[in-house]
Amino acid sequence: MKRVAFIIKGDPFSWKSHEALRVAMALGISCEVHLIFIKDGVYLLSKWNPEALGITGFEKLLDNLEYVNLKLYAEDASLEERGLKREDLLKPVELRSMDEIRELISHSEGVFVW
Amino acid sequence: MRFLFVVTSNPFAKDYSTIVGLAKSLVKHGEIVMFFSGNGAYYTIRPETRELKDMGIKLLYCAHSAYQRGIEKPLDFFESSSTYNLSKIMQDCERVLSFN
Repeated sequence: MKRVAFIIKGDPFSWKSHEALRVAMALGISCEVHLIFIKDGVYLLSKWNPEALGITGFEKLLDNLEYVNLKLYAEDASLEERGLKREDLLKPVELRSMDEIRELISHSEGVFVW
Repeated sequence: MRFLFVVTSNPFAKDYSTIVGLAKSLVKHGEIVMFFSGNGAYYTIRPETRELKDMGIKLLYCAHSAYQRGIEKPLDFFESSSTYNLSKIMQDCERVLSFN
């Protein structure tokens, strides 16, 4: 089974974040996907209230996590810088330092950066 | 060796010439598959992409992304596919390059 690191660093308002999550979920069907949120990407996991903008959020996609081989990580410093705490997030995630994230990436056979 | 390009940037971005240049050199070392998703679906209506086909590269696109962007008539040398297929293709490829 292929091990793939998906790094999301863009904010949730761009189509790229939606596309990244859709592709990551699909890859999770037959690959081992490590979905890593850094920088503004951590906002995707927060309650950013997309309905107020008339766009669909990520809850529905994230609700299907248990059906695919996908793990969620967030960089601890990125959360801290943005005043977010674990309990502010939609889903339980594993907090990692940048060094630990670098380790995750180096053990992956495919790396996607969004 | 098998190479997989996953392209989600649009065909008028800086990546286009990088992708063509890389393909020209990598095609001598093995087989290349390209998967176009997101804004990469617009490659399917850009006639110049025939040069990729002429190199013997397999060109696949995400039908969902194409539908979202109102693309009705992709060029005939592109093959309709899905992100589920992408997860299968990844198993057989030794190198994955993504252009986002």
